Amino acid sequence: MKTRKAIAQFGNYTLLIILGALFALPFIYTLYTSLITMQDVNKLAGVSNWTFDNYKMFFTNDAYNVPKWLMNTVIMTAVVILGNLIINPMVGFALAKLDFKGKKLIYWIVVGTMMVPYHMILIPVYVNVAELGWLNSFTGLTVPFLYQALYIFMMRQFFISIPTEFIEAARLDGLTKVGAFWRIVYPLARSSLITMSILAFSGTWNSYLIPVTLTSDPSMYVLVVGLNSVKDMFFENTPLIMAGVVLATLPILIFFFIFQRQYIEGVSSAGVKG
Amino acid sequence: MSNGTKAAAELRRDNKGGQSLFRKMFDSDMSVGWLFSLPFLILWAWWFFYPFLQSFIRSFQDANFAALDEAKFIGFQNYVRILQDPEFYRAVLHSLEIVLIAVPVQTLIGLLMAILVNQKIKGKGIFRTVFFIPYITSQIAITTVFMMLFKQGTFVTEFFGLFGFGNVTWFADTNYALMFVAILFIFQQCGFTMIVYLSGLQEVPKDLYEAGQIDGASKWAQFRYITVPFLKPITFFIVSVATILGFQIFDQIAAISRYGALGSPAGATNTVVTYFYQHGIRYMNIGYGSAAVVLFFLIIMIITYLQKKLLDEKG
Amino acid sequence: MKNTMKTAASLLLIVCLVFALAACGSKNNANDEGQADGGKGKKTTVTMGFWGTAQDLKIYQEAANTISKTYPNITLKIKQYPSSDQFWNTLPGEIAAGVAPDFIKISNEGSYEYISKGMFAPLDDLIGPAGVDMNRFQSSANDIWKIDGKQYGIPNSVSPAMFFINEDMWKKAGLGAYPTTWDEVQAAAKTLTTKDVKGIVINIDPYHITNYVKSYGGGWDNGKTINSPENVKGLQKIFDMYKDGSAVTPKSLGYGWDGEVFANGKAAMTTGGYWYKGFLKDAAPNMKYVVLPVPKGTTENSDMIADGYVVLKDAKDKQAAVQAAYHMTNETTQTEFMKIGNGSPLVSLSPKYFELNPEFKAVEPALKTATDFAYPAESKKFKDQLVNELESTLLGGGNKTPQEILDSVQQQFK
Repeated sequence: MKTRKAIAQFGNYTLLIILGALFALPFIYTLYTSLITMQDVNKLAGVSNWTFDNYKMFFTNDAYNVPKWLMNTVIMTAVVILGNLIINPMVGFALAKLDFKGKKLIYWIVVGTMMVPYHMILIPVYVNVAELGWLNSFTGLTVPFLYQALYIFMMRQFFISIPTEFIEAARLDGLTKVGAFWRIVYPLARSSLITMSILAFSGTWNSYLIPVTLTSDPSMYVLVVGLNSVKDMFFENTPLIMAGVVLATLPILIFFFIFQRQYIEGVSSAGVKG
Repeated sequence: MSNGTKAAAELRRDNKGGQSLFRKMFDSDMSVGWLFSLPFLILWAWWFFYPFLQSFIRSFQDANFAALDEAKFIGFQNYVRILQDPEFYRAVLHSLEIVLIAVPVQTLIGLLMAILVNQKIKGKGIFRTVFFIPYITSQIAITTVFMMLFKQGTFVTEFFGLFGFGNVTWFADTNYALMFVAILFIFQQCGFTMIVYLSGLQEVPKDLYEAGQIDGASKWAQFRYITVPFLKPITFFIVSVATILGFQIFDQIAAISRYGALGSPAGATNTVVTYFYQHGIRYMNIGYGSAAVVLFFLIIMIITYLQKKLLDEKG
Repeated sequence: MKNTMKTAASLLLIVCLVFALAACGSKNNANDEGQADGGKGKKTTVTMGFWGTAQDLKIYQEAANTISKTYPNITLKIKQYPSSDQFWNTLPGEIAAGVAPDFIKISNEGSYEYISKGMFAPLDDLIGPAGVDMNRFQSSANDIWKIDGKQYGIPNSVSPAMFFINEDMWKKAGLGAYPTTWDEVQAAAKTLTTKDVKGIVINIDPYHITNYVKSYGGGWDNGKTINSPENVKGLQKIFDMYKDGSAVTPKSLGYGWDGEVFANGKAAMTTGGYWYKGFLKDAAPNMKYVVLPVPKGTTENSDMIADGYVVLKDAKDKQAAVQAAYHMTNETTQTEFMKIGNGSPLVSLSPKYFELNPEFKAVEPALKTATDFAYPAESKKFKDQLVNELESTLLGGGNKTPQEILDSVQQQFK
């Protein structure tokens, strides 16, 4: 029995390490490329040739205001996540656990919305934002994105698995359905809300197309847009771009590493017993 | 909702006697359903439906991107022209190929990764993070790195050569370029699938497993008869989302075609979205491009509907 | 169910209407403000849009700061776009919202498409009243921006296409005088090709292809002569060098563009342009290279790369826009641009270009022979078609001849 376990454990780790290496490789390469000079691109450069110049460039050049861009990104992402954490679960709950006329319509609205590539509606969205005078403002960068059809759909699928008995039990305790949702179901959905936050965080933090369209003032740039403005007309300074990628990705990695600990197994199970 | 619960609700109502309007509003499915959907519906109508309607109207116009005020209505001509263009069918076929290859593979790998990092093992936080990295790293950066790896003569292409693939630069060969895009998509999407499955796994009620253990079910049987059915709604979500995102793949293709025509080489990676982008935005014929997206929308809608019939019994 | 749909639909419609009205309201406000500003009259704000480098931006910012010396009534704002795609994508929205720039800097490779779609204002009636002296520019530079007898742009730079050779490789191969014809290039390419190095990199890109066809006396003539015998000859030369095994595309080696192949020493020769200088300085600082004019096929002709300022048709104050654009061609700003490699169209500065960029000295005669691209009006479509056709033969194992390729492209641009 013990040896079988040991073999299983060994197989486990082998698989994890192989997969891990595979998935880490491109990022490691990105990291490596961000540390070399342009003449070493496509070659293997020894540690002695590594340099932080590409990073320095972002922090010393007057044209780039990285701290400001970072601040903008943090504000935009925080507001969007907050909106998503309130609006999406409500709709998801309504679609999963309530029975009302018009539910099917709302379901297909949610699913249909996911299917349209944002490219297609970008121009009218831009015009709307501009007409409201919201260009180059946090209002324009956040209000249209306070909900995400994708995550509404996701929340619905998660809520379907939560036993209806919870809601009924809460109502027997005198709570309304609204109360049951906010006091019982919402806290129970902890790990799905964490997942949504992680996904919404990385999606918003990484978004390029929308902020680059809705902002033209460098002081309103978000990180990804700002880092992308550092390029040349005819050729690309690959190490510099990769340094930008690393700078933009690290905060999400840290956010993820902290939040993935919050997954606690069997929450709903504990709920049933309690 | 089942009849039983409805009856219970009515019973309770009787017990409590007089209902305040407040309680009715916050407790009836009808009003709570709409109340909860209202913030979304307002934002949606404002920031999605209204812009979408404008684009939809454009699909019946001969509209030059740069002089939208001079657009003329031309009925269904855009649609007719698209349906006569062999390139459009080729683009649809390419999108379908990507989806058919990538969706099953990324779902299985993502599930495997989720199970691996859901065990009680050392360093699972690090493995979770590592598996998630490709999803959050700029797709352009990942594509650039993959382009360095899938060149002729690298260890990667030579490895694939063992399985009968040609030792060529994948993204420069019309036979392999689409496969290259599918691989990029799988690589990116696995992290997403893993994280969604991971949170799904947290919610499998423990007592189910405990009951299974008492019955003496093997690990595999537990997985097959407890985990898989419980994850069904989530699997449905993952498959539909991956299908939709697979259809919308763009950044990776734009990155391989950065210095040439979109859909390079020779249109081998043209998909429905690049078709829209090329005609609607690059050639500035926004009416034609919009019509392409409407058709594209109809195609995925049908596929999603079929998937729902196949995978999702509830709702 | 039907009833629900109806109620829902009407609800949505009401919501939409409310927002549409709200949007209209704010739009009017915006317009009022705009008029009020214009009413004051004296100080006009002109916005210039461009996409390019941080270096360009710095030069433009300095130019904007000095505009009040020449035009006290103009305030000049510079707006940088991340890429030309991004500019054109947002432009319709910007026009609708009234925040589009008044004039932009644009390259001649592709400008014809926008001119023929009527997006820029002809400048002929504005030049006189604005006090612009077009005689300060070389007439060949002016001509690039002249379409159907109308002047659409004020020139900012002109530089001819160039041919680059890796000097060390050339010498190591024991080759003598540098080539002046494609036949000599082809022969040299065979000698230069080794196991790891190709003689020449030929990017399947319209800029490079156009150089070849022009050197055989061909050209696109805005779509009229796509399958001319001269063009077929130019393309045939490219095909021949591939067939020799001494030419390669950047893509099949896994590189993005020709400059990377050249900088990494994977090919000994390539067609290129002035931007190679800045690129090679960073990417291959130790490389010794020679710059020559584009070799002859049957005649001396190559691409002329030019930047110019064009006024958008919706610009509020076109005259001020022309004046601001003209200000960008002052000698101080032009000298800054020459320092980073752009050739100046100014008669007074042009000779200095080769003093500041001695490595380009050999291409000076090409200034007289190089010509505009002359793509068809649907330039982007043409470029995509040409590239697709060539890629499917050179990368996809197709077996069309140059004649067949050009015939099939020609068919779509009658």
